[in-house]
Amino acid sequence: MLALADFAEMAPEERRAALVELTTGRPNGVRVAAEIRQLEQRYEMTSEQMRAKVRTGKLDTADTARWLVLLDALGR
Amino acid sequence: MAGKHAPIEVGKYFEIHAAAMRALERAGRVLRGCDGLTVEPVARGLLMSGRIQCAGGITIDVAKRLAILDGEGESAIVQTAAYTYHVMVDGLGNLLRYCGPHDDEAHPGHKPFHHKHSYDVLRDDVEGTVATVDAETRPTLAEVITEACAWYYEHAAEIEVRRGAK
Repeated sequence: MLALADFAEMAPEERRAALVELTTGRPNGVRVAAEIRQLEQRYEMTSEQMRAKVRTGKLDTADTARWLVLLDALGR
Repeated sequence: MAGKHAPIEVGKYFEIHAAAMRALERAGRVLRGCDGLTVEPVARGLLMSGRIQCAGGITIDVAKRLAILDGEGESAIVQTAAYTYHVMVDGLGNLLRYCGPHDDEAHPGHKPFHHKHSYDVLRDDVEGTVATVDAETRPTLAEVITEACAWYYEHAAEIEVRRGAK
């Protein structure tokens, strides 16, 4: 994981190395999956149940918007 | 001419982000040292995520997936594929939220368009309204920050009175 504020301070060679790592690194998805699990616990529903509620307009919050982006990121 | 959301080399993308943040800091819009965004590789590209703290107690939570369309390293071509920018006013509530389409081929059916949630936060509006946003002209993150801070300065006196009363 790279902090974008740090990226701004990097020397060109460091930037190149960081971008190679980001674009070729093997994503493990553990952090994102953990955040999804936290959302499932907080809302006491699975991601699929959340999607169903969003689809029918019963739930539409900043958390669900973020949740959907996280699911999208993992290809779920 | 390529649009502002056109595919771009990832190195240039982050350079543009850094330049925009520096300019917003100099303008007093983003608080110094308060660009809390990180980027990490995910199954479908890169995930940008975190919080930006702005003037006037405005905070912006960001979650955004960049799809890698081609290549690798600094010349990898990326494009925003999913995003949500959530703007809150400390002590008052939600101000606005821009989101990309929520559906995809596997999950159709909910707001399949770029959209903006707006809340009349000075009237305790927690329901808000939703408006479609044009895919090409939708704001960049820097434009959202500028919009939110402009709103703050326009309403600063009333905001501070309401904060003081809470």
